[in-house]
Amino acid sequence: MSNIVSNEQIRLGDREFSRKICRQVKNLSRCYQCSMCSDGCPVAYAMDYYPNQIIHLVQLGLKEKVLQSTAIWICASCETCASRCPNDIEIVHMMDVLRGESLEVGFKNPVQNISKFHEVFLGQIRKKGRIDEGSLLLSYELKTLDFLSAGNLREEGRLGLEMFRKGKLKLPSGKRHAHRAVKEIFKKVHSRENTRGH
Amino acid sequence: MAEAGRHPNIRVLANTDIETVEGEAGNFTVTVTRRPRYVNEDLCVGCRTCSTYCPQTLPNVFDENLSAAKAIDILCTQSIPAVAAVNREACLYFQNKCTICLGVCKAKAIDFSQKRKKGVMHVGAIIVSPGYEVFDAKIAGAYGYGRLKNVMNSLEFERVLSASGPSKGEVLRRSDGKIPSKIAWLQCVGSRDARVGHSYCSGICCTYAIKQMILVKHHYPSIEVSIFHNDIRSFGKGFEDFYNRARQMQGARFIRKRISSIKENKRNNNLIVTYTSDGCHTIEEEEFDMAVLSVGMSPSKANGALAGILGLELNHHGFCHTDSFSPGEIAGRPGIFAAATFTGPMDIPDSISSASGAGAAAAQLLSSRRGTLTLPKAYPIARFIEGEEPRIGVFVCHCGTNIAGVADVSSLLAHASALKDVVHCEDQVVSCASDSLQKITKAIKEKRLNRVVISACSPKDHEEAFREALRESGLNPYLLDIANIREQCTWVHYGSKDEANQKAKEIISMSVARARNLCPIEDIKLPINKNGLVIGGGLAGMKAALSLARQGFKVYLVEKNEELGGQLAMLHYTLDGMPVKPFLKNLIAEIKSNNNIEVFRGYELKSFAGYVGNFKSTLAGVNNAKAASVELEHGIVIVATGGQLLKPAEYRYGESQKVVTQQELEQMIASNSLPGDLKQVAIIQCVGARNEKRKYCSRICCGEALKNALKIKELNENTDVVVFYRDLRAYGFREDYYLQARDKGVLFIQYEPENKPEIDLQRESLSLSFYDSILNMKGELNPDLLILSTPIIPEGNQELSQLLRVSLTGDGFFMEAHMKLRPLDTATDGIFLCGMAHYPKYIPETINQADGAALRAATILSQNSITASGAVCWIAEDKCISCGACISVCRYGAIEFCETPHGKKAGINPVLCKGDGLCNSTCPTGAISLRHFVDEGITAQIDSAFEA
Amino acid sequence: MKDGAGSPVGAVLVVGGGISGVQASLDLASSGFKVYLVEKAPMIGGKMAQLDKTFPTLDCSL
Repeated sequence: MSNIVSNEQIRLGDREFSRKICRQVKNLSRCYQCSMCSDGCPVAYAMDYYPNQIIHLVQLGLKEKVLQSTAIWICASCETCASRCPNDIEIVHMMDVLRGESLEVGFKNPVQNISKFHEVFLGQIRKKGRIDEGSLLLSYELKTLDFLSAGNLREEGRLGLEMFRKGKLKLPSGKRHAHRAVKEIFKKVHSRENTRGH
Repeated sequence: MAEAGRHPNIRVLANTDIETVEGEAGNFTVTVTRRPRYVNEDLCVGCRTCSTYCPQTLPNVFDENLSAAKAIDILCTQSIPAVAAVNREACLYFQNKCTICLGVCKAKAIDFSQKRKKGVMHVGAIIVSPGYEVFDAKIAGAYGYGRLKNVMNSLEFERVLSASGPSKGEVLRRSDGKIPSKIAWLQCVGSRDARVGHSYCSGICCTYAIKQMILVKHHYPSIEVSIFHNDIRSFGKGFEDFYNRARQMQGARFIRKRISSIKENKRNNNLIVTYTSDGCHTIEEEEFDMAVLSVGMSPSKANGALAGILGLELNHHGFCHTDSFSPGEIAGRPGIFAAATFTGPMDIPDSISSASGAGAAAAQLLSSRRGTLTLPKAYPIARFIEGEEPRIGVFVCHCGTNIAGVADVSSLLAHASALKDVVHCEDQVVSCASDSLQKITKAIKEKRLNRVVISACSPKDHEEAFREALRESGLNPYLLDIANIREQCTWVHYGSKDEANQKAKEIISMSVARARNLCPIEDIKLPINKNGLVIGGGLAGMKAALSLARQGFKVYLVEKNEELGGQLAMLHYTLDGMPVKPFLKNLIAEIKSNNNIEVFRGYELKSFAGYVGNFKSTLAGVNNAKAASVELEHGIVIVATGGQLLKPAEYRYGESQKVVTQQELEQMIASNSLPGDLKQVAIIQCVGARNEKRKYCSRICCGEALKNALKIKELNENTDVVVFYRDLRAYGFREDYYLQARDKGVLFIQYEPENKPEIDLQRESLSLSFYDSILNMKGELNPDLLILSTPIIPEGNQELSQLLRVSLTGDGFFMEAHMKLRPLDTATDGIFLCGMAHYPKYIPETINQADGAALRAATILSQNSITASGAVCWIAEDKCISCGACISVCRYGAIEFCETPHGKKAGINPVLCKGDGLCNSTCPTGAISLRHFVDEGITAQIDSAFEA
Repeated sequence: MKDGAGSPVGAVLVVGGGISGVQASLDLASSGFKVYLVEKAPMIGGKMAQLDKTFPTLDCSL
């Protein structure tokens, strides 16, 4: 799992980057590396850097490493870390800010499927005003074409069936919910982002 | 503890609440309410018969609810007062359902008619030390405390480890009663945690967890023990050694991870924790049989109400607010002093120093009224017993069920009464209870006893109380022997009652045989010289001298330098932002203007002789320019010689202007000579400390580094400050400043001794390479300034320790009489200790110790005479062959050759002799004997053992 | 002491009967002051009485 090249040298990096993120994320500079966030993180096993390492990278100002990490995309925003952090650091918000930062800088998402998932997810909300798991899944699979790789189809089929049986998965439906209001929200967010960009 | 219960000038009011406090320093009127315990303290003998019959069980709070108590009970064996109390909520009497205890109490001590009683007292000063509470681990819910059976908090575990605890010292799982094979400790539960409102560090948990780990290992070598921790903060005297000892144990692990939650394996009630492993970037999932939560200190819930009554302020952590320069005083409330954990988390020796320190402040305030409300105890004149045949009284204690539950007391009485010279036999439920002691006194008088045997517990427990009973009856206290039938018999043989009974009989026979040979011994009374000598004119010495002087004693203050101030003179500001210079200036002015203090600057101690109450010292000028030597006579000595800062011998110190010590940096900041355009500053901790050569942690360097890092940031917030540390030991409220430093953007990078940062110096350009364990990467910096945090090292202690005959620790600091309970005393009576001569410490800790040492010294100086035990050695001159063997084994310098008409013979100074018996067992001709342990007595005792 | 306020009282109230309260009481009582030691629980000793052994010497706590 380790992506760390241990003979690479750390130099104190982009201090402005570090300050900028610390300004946006409450208590971020308070981290004393107890690693409670990572020890309780349910998806840490899939990350290249653990949450505590991400914080350390931000503090050191190692911008590129942070913004190109898979961790910021893999974070499931479950808030376990933030609810346990003894320094009350908004870790989940930090991940959000870093994702935004990464997109803004124009880094390619190292976990392409996650971007695709976000695109599909937001696309559906924009279109129908809400998510339904069936069509979300269908669009996602069509977008990533993941099911084409060997064995995936069978595995995902099995999982889908299981979820369906337990009522966790509903059939795709064309129903719309307050989609006009939702559209307004999207419009507002866009215009705000545009003004912030200039 | 027991001493407090017996002291004639201490009135212990248990079950009592403070209601109101009026008046001012010197004259307070305090009203209190005594809640009824429904037991008359004067009548109760502590036999616990009532609790045996009481039908109502409830959890025993003393055992952290792990064992059961009754609604009327004494919750712990050594309770003071040793009398029962009724739990009103649980007691069935108050539901009109039960009166059993009333019927079974032979002493008629139970009294349900007791009401709340108000009391008023007049005092000149108040010392507030209500202590702390243990953090409620239920608040940190993810650890499953209170929900998962095999998770317990550290105080509960303390009871589990205790031989007198709920499982008699056996470590057992609550789920199945089995001995665990793997135990985990989780640190910082309720400490260093903003979510639960305790951002401070409790300061004690790291070392107590290490202690528990070691105790478990002693008892069960095969149990695997692991501590999950953040920093290990073993900063106190001897703690680092203790930590190293634990790390070297087989099957002991220290894992630098703070665990997020505990899950339970439902099949076996094992506990599962997960943690990341940075090095190999994996997630570990590990199962333990038991988990101990190292819970921190919470301010007592009653602090708020107490603060209201006393009119004082709590800080934002809920503890009493005090400042660095007056750690026991409360702003705006003269005459009320705060002590120990009321002012913040601290360990036992610091609490004791702080308590003595607060006591000193009270004693200063009231020094004019010393002795006005106390009475010396008066005794009848001792009876002359020479020529009398032995008339021995034997008292057999039941000690509740401790003795009576195993041995058959009536058979012991029958056995004892048949022994030669025994004229009186009596059994007692608890011999050490005050009414039992009165009965002993009465029996001695009525039956004209001239020897007494108490068959009870170890003489270490209550010998002094029994001797007191003899004194009160007019019998010499040395005519007592104690037959220890508890620790040495019923406690260890509780499984085999018959054998235990037989052994108890034999122990009593032996004791009676010895008692027959006991002789009266006169204690030695010595006058006391009421002057004090304080060695060292730094903060500790000046504070101690000032406190003694204000308590009304004449003080000689000796400083080897020309100026007073010591290490304090090197400081400019404190971590809490107080300027040091004005404080120091004031202190020196106070010393100079106090008529009770005579200062000797530029002098050193050259020779030293005498004993407590009567020391003689010679001072000599350090420079020859000084006048000839000075002779001083004094009753006590306070050692306050301080320490000095180590000059670093590594990291290119001395080769570049850019490498400085913490102290030099502080000097630069104070003199405005720190370059304003510093881009990057690196600080390295533990330079020359916590290594092979100097094993101890110097305690104050982390705080100093934080202080200066904050100062650099204050001067220029754009300067990058990187601190390389091993464990950042910002204990107590110092954690606030660690937090502040991080808030300000100071970077902290942890290192292990095998991966120390390295410095390269190329034409005045520094490069620092380091290893970052969090990222498993190497790194490099080019600091404009490198600051080295070096430890305080002992200064001149070796010579002084030889002069004073006071031992040093392996690290070269002065050794106290007892690391825990007597931190300010040395093993030599009359010599006390404070400040950095004892160990590196912060300013408020030094002040507490200095004031405390002054009060400890005053307990001697306030007496008119001092009593030394007469149970010492003496030499039969005619048998002495002048070989000197005794002189070389005596550790107290009590034996010297003296000229006699028969030549040079060994002579003993009874005042210095401690009666340890080393000389008399060494003497080749049997010339030396130890009073109270004479050969005749011991031989008779041994003979009697073989008679049966 | 302040004039007119009467002379100070040679007694001290110690609030709390844990190890620190006991220490302050003993020191003051042994140097000539009357001490009232007030404890809210039915017994004195506080937390320390509950400890098994103490660090770093592993001595008994009572």
